[in-house]
Amino acid sequence: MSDFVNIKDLRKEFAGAAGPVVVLDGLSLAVARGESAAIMGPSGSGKSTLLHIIGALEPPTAGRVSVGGVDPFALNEKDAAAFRNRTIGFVFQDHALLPQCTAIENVLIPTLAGDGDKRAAAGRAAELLERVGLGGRLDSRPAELSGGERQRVAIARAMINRPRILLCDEPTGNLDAATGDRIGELFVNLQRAEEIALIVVTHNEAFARRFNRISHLIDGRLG
Amino acid sequence: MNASRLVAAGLRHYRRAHLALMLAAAVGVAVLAGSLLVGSSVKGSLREHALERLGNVDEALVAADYFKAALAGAVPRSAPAIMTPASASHAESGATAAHVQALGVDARFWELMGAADAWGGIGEDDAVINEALASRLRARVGDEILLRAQKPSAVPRETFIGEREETVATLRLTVKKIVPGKGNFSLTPAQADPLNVFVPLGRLGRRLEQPGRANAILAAANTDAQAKIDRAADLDDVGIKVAAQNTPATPGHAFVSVESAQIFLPRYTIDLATQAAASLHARCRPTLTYLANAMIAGGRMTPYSTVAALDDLDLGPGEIALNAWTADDLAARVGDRLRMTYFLPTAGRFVETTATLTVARIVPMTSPLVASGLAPDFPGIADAETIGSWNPPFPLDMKRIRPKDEAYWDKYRAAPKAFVSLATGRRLWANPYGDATSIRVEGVAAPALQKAMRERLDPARAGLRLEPVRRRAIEASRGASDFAGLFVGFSFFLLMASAMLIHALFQLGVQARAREFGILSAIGLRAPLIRNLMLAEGGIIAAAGGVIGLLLGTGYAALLIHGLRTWWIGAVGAPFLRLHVDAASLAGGLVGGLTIAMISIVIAARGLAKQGARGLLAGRAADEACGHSRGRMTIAISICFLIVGISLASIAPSRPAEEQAGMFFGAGAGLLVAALTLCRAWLRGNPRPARPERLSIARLGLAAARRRPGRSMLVVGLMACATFIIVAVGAQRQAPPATSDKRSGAGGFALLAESALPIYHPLDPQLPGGARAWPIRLEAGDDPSCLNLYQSARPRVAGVSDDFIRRGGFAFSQTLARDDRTKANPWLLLGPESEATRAGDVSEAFPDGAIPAIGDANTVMWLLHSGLGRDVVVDGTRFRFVALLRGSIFQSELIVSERNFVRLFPREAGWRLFAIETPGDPRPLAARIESFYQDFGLGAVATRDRLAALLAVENTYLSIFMALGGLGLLLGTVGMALALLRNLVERRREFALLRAVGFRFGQLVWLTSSENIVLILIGMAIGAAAALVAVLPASIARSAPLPWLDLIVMLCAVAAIGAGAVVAGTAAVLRSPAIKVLKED
Repeated sequence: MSDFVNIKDLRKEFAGAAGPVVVLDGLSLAVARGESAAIMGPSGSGKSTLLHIIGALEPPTAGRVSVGGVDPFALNEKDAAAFRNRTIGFVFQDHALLPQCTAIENVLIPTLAGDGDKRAAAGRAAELLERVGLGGRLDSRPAELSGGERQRVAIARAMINRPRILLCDEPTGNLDAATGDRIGELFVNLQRAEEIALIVVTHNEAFARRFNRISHLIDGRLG
Repeated sequence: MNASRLVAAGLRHYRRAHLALMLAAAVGVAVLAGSLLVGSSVKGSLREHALERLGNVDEALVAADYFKAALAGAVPRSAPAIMTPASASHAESGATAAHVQALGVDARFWELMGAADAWGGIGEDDAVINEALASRLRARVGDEILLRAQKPSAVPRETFIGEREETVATLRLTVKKIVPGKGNFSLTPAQADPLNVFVPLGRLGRRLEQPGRANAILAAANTDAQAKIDRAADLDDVGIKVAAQNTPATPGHAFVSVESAQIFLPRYTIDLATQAAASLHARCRPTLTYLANAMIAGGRMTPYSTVAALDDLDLGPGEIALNAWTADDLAARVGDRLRMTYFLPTAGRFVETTATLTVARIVPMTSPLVASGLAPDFPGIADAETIGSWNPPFPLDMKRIRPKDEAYWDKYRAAPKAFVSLATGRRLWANPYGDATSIRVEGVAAPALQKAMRERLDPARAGLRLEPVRRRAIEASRGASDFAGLFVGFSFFLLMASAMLIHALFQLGVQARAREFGILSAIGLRAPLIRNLMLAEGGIIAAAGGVIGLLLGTGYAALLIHGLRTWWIGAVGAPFLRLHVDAASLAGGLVGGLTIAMISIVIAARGLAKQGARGLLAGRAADEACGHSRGRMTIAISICFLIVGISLASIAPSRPAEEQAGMFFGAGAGLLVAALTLCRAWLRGNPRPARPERLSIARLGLAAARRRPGRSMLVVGLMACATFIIVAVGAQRQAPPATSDKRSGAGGFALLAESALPIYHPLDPQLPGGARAWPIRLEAGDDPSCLNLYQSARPRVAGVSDDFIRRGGFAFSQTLARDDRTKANPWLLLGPESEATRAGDVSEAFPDGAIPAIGDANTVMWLLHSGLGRDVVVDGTRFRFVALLRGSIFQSELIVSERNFVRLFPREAGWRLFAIETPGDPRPLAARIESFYQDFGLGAVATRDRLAALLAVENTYLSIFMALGGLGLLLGTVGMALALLRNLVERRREFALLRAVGFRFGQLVWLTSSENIVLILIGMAIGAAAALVAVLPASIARSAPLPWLDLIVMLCAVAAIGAGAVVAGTAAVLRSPAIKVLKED
């Protein structure tokens, strides 16, 4: 199985008051298509930074990054946006739903960046919401949903453009244990069904155990 | 810790955010204080300007007739003067100036003005002129100028014995000095500098055939100055002559004759003589003696005879008595019919008419009535040795004079050849100047009568009245328009924008601190206390802003005053305006501005109380959409305003034009409020979800706009109000109409000419074929139009002839016409068809004495503060407006019928205003008549130019409104940008997510901008629609097309500014890296 995500000697520094702060230092990571990986580590260890670099949201200071055989940082702004739109699905800790939009509208938002078939997108959004157990809440707004339901909408949104990799940043951080467990199950099912790569950043050991492997980020390196 | 410390801590911690709120409050105070300062500055400047022209003169006596100059000696610190209208021209270049004020003065005048040096070295042939005249004539010291002044005439020039040929005296003078400042002396407050020529009093008096006399006394503040004049004046000073008369045929039968230099005795003189005679127990008989051109009976004719109307002979109506000489000459006997021809007394031209009378008596030549003393001193006749040497003002047919007529003249002089009853005489020779030419007082010596009359003389009533010119100048400088109110109105949008900005900023602050207030609430502080803490913070910030606002307001006022002196000079024509800072204006601005700020703050704080502690802790403030419950109330309010708007729009067409404009504006404003309220309800509503496949970036933007309805309404409301004002005000701009249309504001007249000196002949002989001049009488007064900033105490009055009235024309905005004839020609309401005339009152006045008048609607409403059917009182005479002209050339006059004019102003002879019809280009004709009537200082202006000048004032005011509206829009845009910024900051995570899921930068800018651009367009659509309802009907009614192109350009500019601000602001915020936002969160 070829690596879908291939990172070599990744280094990331941030400017600090007393000079550059090194967050990631010589990190390497490989995740194959259909593989799921959980990354754990203490707060401030650079887990989210790693996820953002994989998601082409932030360039590395040094090192090589390949996602699906593409170096996203070699792309221009337009192509990078299209790459994110088609290749990557993001799930954030606080779900980041637009409060003015209904559940199905929220799921459809990534489709607005492209010019695909709207009717087909709407059908897939409804199907995704059905799959995450919200088939009866298509027209509910975020304020009308529970935390777990919101996160399911966020997951459906992440899946709408059939991404090849799902990046999840503490997706159960705001949820109780039972809800977090159900969300974990959902991730695994979706990942298997869609055969995508999945990288999850989490503090939750039990949640992490659901995935193929667990890596710990310590001193800027995965161990 | 207590509440004060909490407030202080809040102020300290949020000082940067508060700075914006403080500046917004400062703007509100600045705008109000600045506007009020403009008002006080205009008043102050007008006052200074008027008083500067008066020098030390506090009171002035300007009489219609001349009196001895020595009378001024009775009043300490005074100066006699001759003040007369004139025209002037440069002797060499020919440059001319009409409407010049010729002043005959001596050193006393300049001492009074505090400029004694100005008169040093002035000789008899020298003149001092002011800078304005020097500039007009392009004259320098040493140049010669020709001054043409009207010769005074005690005898009314309108009468057949009035002099109408040699009316102008010309003086050739050398400009000795050009005096600025004090040289601008004028008793009439006006923005424009007068054109003054100062000539030695003696020289001017002699040239005007009034040696040693003056017609004005100018005095500094005095105690009992009028009483001093009353004591010093004698009968001669008021034109009363008292002389003993002897009849040649009956020596010893003497009487004392009281006559007037004016020939016809004014009512005051008759009363004075009657009272004096009564006090002496003497018999007093009025006589009206007239000149008959011919008396014809039985084919024989006696030429040029005096005919006395008196009650001595007990004659009936239509009866005449002849003296024996005349009866013999005509071979007439009692019972014979006699035709008498004579000139009509006041036709203005020589119109001979005939009366047929019956000879009732023959009076012997020995009768005391055959006395030359019964005839007044007719000019050119009284002093003549022979009839052949008569030199009267009227045409004389010398061929009619026979030797026997000369013989009669030798023996009896002007002794009457015939007599009629006083009633018959008054019927035949009725005139506005008086109904007697002499009073015969019998049984008393002339000195005794003279003494008795002097004792009873009230010089003030006889015309020698000191007027408090300084006080009047101060009153006039209060101005015709309230500039403070005007500029508060002009700054309305600026104020509104400031209020909206304060509201928005405070609300943003509240929203940002919702969680903080939630904590306070959660720990037990009650909602009123929390609200009061907020209001205290807001109040302190607003007060601090108010203090800054006073400084800014002074600057704002200085800028506006500068604008009025420069860019907007067309509105006021007052380059002398300067800033006057007064405490009242500053206090008014501070109180008003802070009130507006606090109201805005209180409204913004209301929302806090509506959120419970839980909501506040969740970071929610009142601006979040609330769903349907409030929507019903909002829709109900909206429907109410809609009903008001539609009702006003429905009623308006049936109302008078001026009311229509206001009602349509009200209708538009009602619709504006209704639409905004509906829009608010829509934004706050809970929309039904759209079909998912219809989701687009624009719909996403729209959904975002509904998320914060308060902020969205800020944008919609601002743009709607800006558009409403731009369209509603911009639509008022007018271009001068076609003047050839008889129903236009020019009435079909191409030229309007005005002379400085009256002209006593028709202009028509000087006009080319097809052209016709309509002479109009004019009484000098203040210009009450928008061209004059001073309050008009005595608006000038014009008298139009019956021909002019019958001609009709002009556009009327309102009339009192009730029948088809007067509706077709409202001018008829002035005279023959007036209600007063129909009631049988030949004086063409209303039963209560009010005179029917027509004025321009704008002048009447806005400057004279009157209206249709209402009165204005000028010098005790009430004028009642029977019709109001619309946008006419007559914005500077009250127009009455000629008959009423002559009755009201008998001393204003001749015509000074000429409305001229001409089929061709009026400008060559203007040059031609100006040249021909140069001596009379005639200036002609194309009516199109006059209307353009008047419209320029209106349009300049509109420009001011638009400019200040633009400033308001700018301020509003700042508010909009702040709201947008806050929105963007609050939604940074949303944008970060969108970028994460693949949105490009341009798409994000479009997504975010589209929601605001949609709001801008909604606001503009609401404002434009409401404004069109407000102005379109009135525009259609007055056939004035809207300036569509201008409006479209302006609206496009507004949309572009709004959209540009939105796109630029959005792009700036979105440039922040997505990852940074995600990390911050």
